[in-house]
Amino acid sequence: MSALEISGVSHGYGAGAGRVEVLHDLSLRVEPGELVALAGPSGSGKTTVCHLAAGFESPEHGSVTIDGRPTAGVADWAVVAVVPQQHGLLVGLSVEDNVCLPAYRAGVDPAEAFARLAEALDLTSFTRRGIAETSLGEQQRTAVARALVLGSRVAVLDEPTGHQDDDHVAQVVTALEDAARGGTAMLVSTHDERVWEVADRVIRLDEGRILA
Amino acid sequence: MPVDDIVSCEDLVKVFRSVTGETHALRGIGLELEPGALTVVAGPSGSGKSSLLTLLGARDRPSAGRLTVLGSDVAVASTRELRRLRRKRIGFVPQRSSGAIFPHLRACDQLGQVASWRGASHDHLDEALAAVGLSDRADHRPSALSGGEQQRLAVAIALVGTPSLIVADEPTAELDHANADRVMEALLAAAAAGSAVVISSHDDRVTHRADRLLRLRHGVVSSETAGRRATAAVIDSTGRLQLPPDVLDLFPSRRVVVETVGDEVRLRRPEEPT
Repeated sequence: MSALEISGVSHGYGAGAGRVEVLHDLSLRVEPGELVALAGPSGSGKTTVCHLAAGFESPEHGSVTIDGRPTAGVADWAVVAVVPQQHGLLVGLSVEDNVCLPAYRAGVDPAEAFARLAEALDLTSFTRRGIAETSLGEQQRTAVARALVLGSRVAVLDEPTGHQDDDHVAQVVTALEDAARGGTAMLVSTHDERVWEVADRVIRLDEGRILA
Repeated sequence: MPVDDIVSCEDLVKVFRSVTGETHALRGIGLELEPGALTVVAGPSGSGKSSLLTLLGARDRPSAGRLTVLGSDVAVASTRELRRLRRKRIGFVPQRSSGAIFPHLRACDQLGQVASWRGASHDHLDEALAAVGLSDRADHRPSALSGGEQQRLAVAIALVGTPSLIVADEPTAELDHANADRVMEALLAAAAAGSAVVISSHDDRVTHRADRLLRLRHGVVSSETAGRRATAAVIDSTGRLQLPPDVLDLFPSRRVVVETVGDEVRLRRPEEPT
């Protein structure tokens, strides 16, 4: 069974004249240990696929499941971890506490995973800072570390390298590869060719359909 | 300050204080922005790019140093004066583009509203949307737009009426190649029409199109490249000169002969031992 399975999904937003149809009968699967990149122009539906895979929304038609369960009802970081486009960090907490929060909630000691991710993603110089005192690039790497801290069954990352310089892109890419090697099913929406290069598969979207 | 400078700053310092201590985001920046040129601010994550652009856009006040934007001294100007300046004469694209768009207005109405504030014509708003590839989204509200489309809408809003100063913080970060090119064309066209344009970027596709490239490192300007010909660099207080990477590549052995000729200093490679 695929870890993540999106099957026959059609989805849109709004009603009446402002209605936008985003996805048209879309199907894709991500296996455990597989890194799948989701490419396509701005407006092609990448973020909508991420929202559905993460369980933020339920599809209007079709199904989105993780190990057979609808993702919209999961709400468990150990099952599906997410880097949303806006990162979704908690501004009242430090960088370290943001990264470790899923582990605290799951009752797991995050020390080893945090030390490894902080080193791999160059967070060590600002782990005690509040989120508001970090740059957007630093916030993005913090969100990536948080998504990888539990070694979740599925990880969904929406544009995880957009705000990084070259050196840090390479660090993020390596962290994504390591997570896939650890068995996580990785779905990464990205324009970044450096992510496409390491992906097991690149799925190209255009106007809500997968290009053959 | 020469009359034709849009922005001028000297020894600009920005310190953020919080319960966990102080972050020195900018440690003494001096620069001028002139009309008709596109300046790119590059540098690693955390080097101070966004702090600098927020100040240049008159959206924050410096901790120390002098900053003049369109004739207003940003350190002492009233909040009302700065708000008027931002609304009428500065186009600003924040890093999170959702901060620049109105959630309840259709794309075309957003441009119309901003045109009214800037006293600009409403005649070419369709073209402004077309320039960033959003013609077919004119009647949509932001909630129906993707992240990349919202970013392009924020750029279109910033460009309405060709304001004197346009500041855009990573305007292509969420865009694919074709749309990043469109946004750069639109920004270059604004510069050609007389705006001073300053943007930050990590993106090589963007930096190589700059009239001027400033690299930040740890809150100071580590190098400046003008028109890809002359290279300006900064000498620090101990007399060390940091060369930009492309110049550094000319000295693979990391040894250099320094010659003083009149008021010029020349750097050349030492003779190879035979």
